[in-house]
Amino acid sequence: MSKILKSLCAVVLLALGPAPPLEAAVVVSSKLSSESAMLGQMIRLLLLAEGIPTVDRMRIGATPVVRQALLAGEIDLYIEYTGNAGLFFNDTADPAWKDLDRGYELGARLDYAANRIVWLTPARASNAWALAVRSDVAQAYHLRTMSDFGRWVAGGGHVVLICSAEFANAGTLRSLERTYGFVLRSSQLIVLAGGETAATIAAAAAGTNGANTAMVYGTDGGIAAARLQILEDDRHDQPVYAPVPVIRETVLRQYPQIAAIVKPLMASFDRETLQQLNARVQVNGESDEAVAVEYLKNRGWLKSGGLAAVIWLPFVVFKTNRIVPGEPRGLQQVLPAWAALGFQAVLLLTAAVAVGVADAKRRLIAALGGVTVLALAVAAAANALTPAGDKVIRVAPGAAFWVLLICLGLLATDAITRMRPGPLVRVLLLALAIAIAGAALAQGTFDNLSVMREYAVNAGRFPVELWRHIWLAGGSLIAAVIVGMPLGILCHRAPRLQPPVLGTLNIIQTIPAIALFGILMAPLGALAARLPAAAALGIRGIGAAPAVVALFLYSLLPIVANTVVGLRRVSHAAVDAALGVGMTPRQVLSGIELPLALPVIITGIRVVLVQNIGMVTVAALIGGGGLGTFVFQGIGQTAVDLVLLGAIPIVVLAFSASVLLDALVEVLDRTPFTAPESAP
Amino acid sequence: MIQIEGLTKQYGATTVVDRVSFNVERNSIAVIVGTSGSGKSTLLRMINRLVEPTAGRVLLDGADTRSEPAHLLRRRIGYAIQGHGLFPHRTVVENVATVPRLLGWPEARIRSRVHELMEVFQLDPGLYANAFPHQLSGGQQQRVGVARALAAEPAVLLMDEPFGALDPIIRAKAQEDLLGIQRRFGTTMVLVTHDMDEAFHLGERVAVMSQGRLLQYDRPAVLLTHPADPFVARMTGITDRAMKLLALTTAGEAALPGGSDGPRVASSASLREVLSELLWSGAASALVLGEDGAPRGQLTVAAILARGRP
Repeated sequence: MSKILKSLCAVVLLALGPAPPLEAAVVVSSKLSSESAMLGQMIRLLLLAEGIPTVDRMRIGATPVVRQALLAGEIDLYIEYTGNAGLFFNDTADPAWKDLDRGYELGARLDYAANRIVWLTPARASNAWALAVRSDVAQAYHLRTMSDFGRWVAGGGHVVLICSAEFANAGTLRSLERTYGFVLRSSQLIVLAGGETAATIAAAAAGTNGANTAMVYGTDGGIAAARLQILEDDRHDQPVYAPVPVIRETVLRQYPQIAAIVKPLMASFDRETLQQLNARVQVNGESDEAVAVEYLKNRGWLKSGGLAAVIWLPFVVFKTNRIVPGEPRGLQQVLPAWAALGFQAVLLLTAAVAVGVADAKRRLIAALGGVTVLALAVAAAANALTPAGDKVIRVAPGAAFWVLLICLGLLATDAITRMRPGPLVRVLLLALAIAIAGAALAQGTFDNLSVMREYAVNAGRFPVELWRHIWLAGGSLIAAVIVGMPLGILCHRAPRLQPPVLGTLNIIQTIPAIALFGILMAPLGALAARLPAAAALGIRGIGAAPAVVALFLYSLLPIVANTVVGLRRVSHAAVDAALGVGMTPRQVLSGIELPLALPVIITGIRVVLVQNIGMVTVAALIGGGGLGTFVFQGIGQTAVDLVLLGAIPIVVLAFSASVLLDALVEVLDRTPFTAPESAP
Repeated sequence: MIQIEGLTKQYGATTVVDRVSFNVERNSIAVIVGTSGSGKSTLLRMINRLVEPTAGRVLLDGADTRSEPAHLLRRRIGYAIQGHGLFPHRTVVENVATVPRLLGWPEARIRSRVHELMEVFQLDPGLYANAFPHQLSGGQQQRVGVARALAAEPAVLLMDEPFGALDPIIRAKAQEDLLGIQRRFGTTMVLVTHDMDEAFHLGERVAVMSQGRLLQYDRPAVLLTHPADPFVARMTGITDRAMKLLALTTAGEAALPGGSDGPRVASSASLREVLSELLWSGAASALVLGEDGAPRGQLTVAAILARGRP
């Protein structure tokens, strides 16, 4: 075993290393808008694909916040809009802002001179602020341009504008009012703290609080779909807002290749492209990250997996939503350096214990410590990768996690085996492990892990399906025990019955589960159709009935066979003596034969229970319910996390059942195996 | 006490026990001896109806054994078998208490009886009461088996090769213990064995069986001196029958008046042992001492040899 453990340690080290150099990661950020986050995400993913470590800090705040963070060096790169430079440098009057190229050159020059901020390639599209009114209002009052709008409002038109605080307070609204000759009273304004035009568009479209006009961006995708009409800025009041990645010069010096990496991406955007991408987020409800990933893949800039996975196994897999293939993340990319290093130190210590310490108790403590740290690390990684409140991003444990978990699990079970704990201790250990895991789950420690995300969505159904799973597995087992044990006793008493009974059950055992379900659907369906009483009892062609019947049939063989074997191993001398001292045949059966055969019978029950817990999964395919529902739903939706939500509890159930029944067998079987003696 | 009348057992066309009749006197030990397949175990098992006879009957104290349900009959008859047949999942106390429990004795009576038997069979209750059979030695297991058979104070004890699994030294001890038990409780015993020495040593009367038939049922000395059948003679052993005969008589029984300065022997020693001692020491006579150590008389080689003739 220790040889195996040593090679496992080698696997651990391979899984962890060679650790990537601890380079300064580029902190990529964005404003609150989905377009900004989507473009930021694209840049971050490209940098990652080119081997530059990054940190994801999307949507940290509105423009002043992001700008301040960049100047303070807290973030390294984000998407700015050319026209905003007028505000930064108090020079909104310069006509250059109203032209894309001149505005870019001016902004780039000013920002570099003042802040050593480098403006990378801008997109050829303007995302200037504009106003959009509901189509019905526009038609009724013939509103096409801002000039029409200004006249209408000034003439007492009933308008309620919904916009962001930034729009209302940073001079944009005032400038429009001045140019087009209207004034909005505060009662005509609904000011949202956030910057999401998705929200303003939705509110105006729905007429929330009477809103009929929305602040929008020129590249917003949802305007037409929400039956809003954008008002043309016919007097060129608004500056051009072309998206442009801005980066701190010190970071660009460190990674000069960033400029070249970003250039083709930004050049690929025009107004229509951005509108289409934005529409997918705002109208179709896809996550901006998912759209980003797909765009990059379609352009051939991102390959799934990536080089990183080849060099070292990913600790977690980051998915922008539940169904896209994930991107691998090493621990160093996700956690602060001290945490990643600490984690590696703990694992190396555990590996050292596995190789160098013989004491089983210490090995167990090391393994459990390793598992705890591993679980905390994966939870921390999930928390770090998930922006607060995000429900779309999925962070799943990666290959390195699973490899480490298997190694630590082997180390722990090896240590436990060496310690030879009594059956009660083993059951207590199991209960303790489940209690700790349950407490951590209840505490929400793992809530940001992908499986728990699926759980959160299915929280209502999960206990129902879990109980159903246990009920299906346990119910068919109980039925099989009630029928199988007497059948086994009968076979023992009348050995002539053994070949036909066991032969038949053997044949049933060879029928694949799904085929047996299918075979049973027809007769059970017919039975339900003929006998209303049967239907009333829940016997139907689909659902629980065929599943329970099939599992019952599968369970019979191990129970009958083990009953026969168990009774056969009871010493003939003991039975003869029992009869000889005056026990009735019934007393011999209940007092001598069954107690002595029980360990073997329970072993059969253990086989059946573990087998049933696994096989009930398939019952979901014929409407039987149980945890298999999640597994097959997950397979259908290619959502691996949902598959795991079903599969992990199944494994835990089967493992617990086998530990419990093993312990029971050991408690019952306090006598050594006694070989059958020949009858006198 | 036990009257066996024309007992027959047939399995299909095979007759395993063929019209066997004999009586066992109260407080005596009868031994059924025979080669394997002679039907001796089947005969024994018909007494407590573990095997139901095809014909014939067994009377116990004059009553037909079929007049009550078999399991109630068996509770009145002790039963001990080769390999002890202890219940491996029950402790020594639980094993011994089996029949009293079946009979519904009060707990206190069961406890005192079990305690008494464990003392009698030299099983320290403090050490072995809660031990499981597999924790005992072979000799201890055998003693627990006999103790269990005697627990409900049965008038009759049936034993099927009870010492078959024991090594020779423990076996000799177990045989002495059994004789002591028989004297103490006065139990009527029927014992099956294939070992003629054991039969002669334990049995007041010995039944010799072959191929289902009872060839002869008599005192050991009679079997030796007047075998009814060549098979009995072969079974009892032609070459050393004189020595076997000597082994049946004790020094006390054969002692003649007078003294001797030869070796001293106990009155319970067999003539065979005394003869062996005289041959070894080269003396012409031995002094026989009683249990109290007082001289009981003397035995000469010639007197011993005279007893070795039919």
